[in-house]
Amino acid sequence: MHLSSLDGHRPRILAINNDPAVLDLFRDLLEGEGYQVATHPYVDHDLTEIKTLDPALIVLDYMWATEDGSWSLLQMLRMDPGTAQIPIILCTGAVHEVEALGSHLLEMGITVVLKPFKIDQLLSAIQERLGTEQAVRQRSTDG
Amino acid sequence: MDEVHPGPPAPPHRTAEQLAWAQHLHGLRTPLTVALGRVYLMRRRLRRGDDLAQIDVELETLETALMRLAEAITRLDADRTDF
Repeated sequence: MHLSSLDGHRPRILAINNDPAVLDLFRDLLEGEGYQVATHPYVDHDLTEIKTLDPALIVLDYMWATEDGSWSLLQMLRMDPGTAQIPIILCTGAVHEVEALGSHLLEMGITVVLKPFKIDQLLSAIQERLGTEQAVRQRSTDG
Repeated sequence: MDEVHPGPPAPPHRTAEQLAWAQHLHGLRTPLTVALGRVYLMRRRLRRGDDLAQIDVELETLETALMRLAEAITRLDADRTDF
């Protein structure tokens, strides 16, 4: 796993994908927006590193249903207590599968951004999810 | 969100043809996404007045993404079976 910054004051985003060009894009893009960025090549399903990293948000980009491994990773991330609460933005071109699952994904804290997307769409989704999570944590602290 | 979710439901079953088509679409969408992203970054660099050498790097990456896109189209054309 590559961690591009150790600054503890900026939200840390973990980008997971098996394509180096996509990971490079996410790193360049999100660092320029002021986020800490870690990238994961998605070669195994050991969640230890992800838990240690404790990202504020995960951007998961993969080819739905044609890579069994990526699907099981998504399930593991949601079922493991150490990662279940981390918001996930799923970048995928699998329009039909997303439609078939209806609102299930959103109910599980998974926001879908369909590929190809305009970068503003992705950034808005990230800002929205991070803002929501911050508000939830604040309410939890206040309450 | 305090509870652990049961995990997302399984994706719908797909035939071999549907999977092959999905792979083709993935091969098109991914480099297109990278190209769009690199254009965005290039515009950001231009607005900031970044060094031309950095913009040149962006252009090179954009070119690579477009070449991948062209290769994906070639594969799609080679694999077509409907006519």
